[in-house]
Amino acid sequence: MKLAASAHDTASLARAWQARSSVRIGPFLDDGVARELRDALRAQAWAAAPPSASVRLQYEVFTNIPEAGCDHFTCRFARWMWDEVPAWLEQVTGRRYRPPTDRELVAMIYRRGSYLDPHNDRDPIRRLAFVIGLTSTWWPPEHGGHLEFVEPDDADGMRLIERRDPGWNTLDLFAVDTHDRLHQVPQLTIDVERLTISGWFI
Amino acid sequence: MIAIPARDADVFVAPALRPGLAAPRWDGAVRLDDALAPGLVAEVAVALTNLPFHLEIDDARADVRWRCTLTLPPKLDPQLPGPGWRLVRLLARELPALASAIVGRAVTVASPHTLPLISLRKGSYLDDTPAPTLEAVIGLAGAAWPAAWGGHTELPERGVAWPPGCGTIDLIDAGVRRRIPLVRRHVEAMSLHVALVPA
Repeated sequence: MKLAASAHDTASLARAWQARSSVRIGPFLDDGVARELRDALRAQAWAAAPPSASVRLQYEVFTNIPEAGCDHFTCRFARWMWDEVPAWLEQVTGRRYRPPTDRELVAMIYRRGSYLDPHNDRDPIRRLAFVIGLTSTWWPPEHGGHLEFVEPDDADGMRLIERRDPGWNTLDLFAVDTHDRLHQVPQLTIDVERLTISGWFI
Repeated sequence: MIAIPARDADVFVAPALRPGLAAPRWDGAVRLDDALAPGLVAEVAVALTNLPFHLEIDDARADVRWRCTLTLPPKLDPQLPGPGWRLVRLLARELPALASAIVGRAVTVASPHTLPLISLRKGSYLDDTPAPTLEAVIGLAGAAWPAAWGGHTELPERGVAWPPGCGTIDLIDAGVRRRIPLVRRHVEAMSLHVALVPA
């Protein structure tokens, strides 16, 4: 697995991270790796995500727990993500993170109707949320499917703080242990696909 | 005229639809309001709480709805919720008689012990497709919501739109095009969908 050339400039990324403990990095991977990852994921069997007790959602998922020695691209990528990326993240964030104990790497496809309601990811274990964007098309935010950071607002219920488009070969990082970051993906209302891998380091 | 061969104790369609009353005009699609016996929907709603619905997405991604199919045994079992049996009797006896009288041909429900339930929730939709068979949709919804939130059944060739029904019976003939726009809010409507086949 190879990072994109610009992702090796960890000093610049660290400065961006320090400002808000939240950053979008792009490109994240070498473009060939990103394309191979996208194609490998798209070839998988996807299933509707089970309902969650903590957040209301609808999208499809492919879950991969990497097997040692498996040569499939998704396994190789998941092993790299959990075993090698933390050292790079430490250079960017100044903190050492570990992969989740279940080592599940979860990819999501949002299609028409999909959504992720506002939530803050807070729990006793999660520290750093990540979203790898593998969406090669773009659409306006009024059709949904963009990542939005929001905060409560007495007048309107919710105020938009920041919006990030679905993104090709992007990595969104945001601390969820030190900041109360409400975020959501508004319902996708057109026939496009938002492909991501997302989860948390602990 | 509608003729329903059943004793009163077994009748679960509304009194207004019982024998002796004029059948509504049939042009391939009709909604019967207040079609179920008083109290039946309320009982059924309680019995159906917490059923294990799962999101089903068809291959063409044209039909994204939550589904749960209940199959009751052939003989009445008092250990199982009573409203389910009332629905079985509705499907076995009264619905075929009612539908046959309205559509003008003898139809029946092939598997009245099977209750295919569909739930519309945020994210659900049905693209414009013709009904594959004559279909009865028994509305078990709760409170109504505006059409702009999606989830209403539209018959585009007829300029008709029905909100999710409560105590309604919709009859839609094979080939009639219908669609359900994307549900955009956290609301829910449950309905029982039954194929009516030649008797």
